Amino acid sequence: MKWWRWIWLLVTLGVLTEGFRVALFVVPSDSAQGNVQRIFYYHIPSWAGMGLFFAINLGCSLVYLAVRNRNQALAIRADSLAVASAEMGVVFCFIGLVTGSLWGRAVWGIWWTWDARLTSTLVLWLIYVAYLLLRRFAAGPQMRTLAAVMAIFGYLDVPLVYMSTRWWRTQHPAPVFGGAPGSGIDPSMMPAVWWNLAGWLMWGIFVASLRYVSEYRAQKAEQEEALKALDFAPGQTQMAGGR
Amino acid sequence: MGDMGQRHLVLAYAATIGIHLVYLAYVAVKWLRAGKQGVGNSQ
Repeated sequence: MKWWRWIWLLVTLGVLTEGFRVALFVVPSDSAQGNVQRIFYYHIPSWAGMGLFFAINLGCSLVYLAVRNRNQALAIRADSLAVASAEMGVVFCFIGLVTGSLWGRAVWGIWWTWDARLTSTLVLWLIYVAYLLLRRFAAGPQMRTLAAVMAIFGYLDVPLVYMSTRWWRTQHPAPVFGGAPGSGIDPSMMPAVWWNLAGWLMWGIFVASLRYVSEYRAQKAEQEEALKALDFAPGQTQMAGGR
Repeated sequence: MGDMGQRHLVLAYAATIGIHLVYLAYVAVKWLRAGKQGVGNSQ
């Protein structure tokens, strides 16, 4: 691993440690919910991470579809980043569902309810799990094209998830940030939001970058194997006179 | 701390860190396997 990755990792761990400390021991507890509200500081970065990495997946899928027939090198890079970002997004989404469920159990008395926010988020998670399963169990360039198309349609659920608490009446509370006038949290709580948002996004970028490199290497190796196999195909060698 | 939901708070933080570590282990395995293939090692 390159030195700058180690630096990034060290800074990330420092930010996460500070985020943990500020969230649990520095900012005041919520007057209505008490300490359980501190789940918010890990819940919000999960959704931010999910939004970021699914957006990267969408961008890479579009690039892959645009260049796959004329720029193989860029197509492999875009497809590798699409895989890495989809996995990272699925991880963040899953954590958002788990922390939300634990929070719901504490304040609503239920683990789950089929309201628009929770249901659309579960569907989003399942769409991207299906995307990863497609990639796992199919092979070849057609699979990559199909996966890219699926990613574009899958992303349509992201704005639906975001707007669900604005469009429908839900068990899930109204938006805390960017919601109705008077929404938001007390400024004294914001340091915990910023530290954890920064820390978990930096963590996501670190892990996704490692995953990107391994996927890129694997796809390059696969491509080289395929080219080698073409070279050694007896009929082709005879006709083309070797390379 | 010590009020309602403290157990849920601890579980939520533990689950977040735990899930990230499990995924990191998966990525590390992929990284090591890809490294053995010896392609693109300049990354």
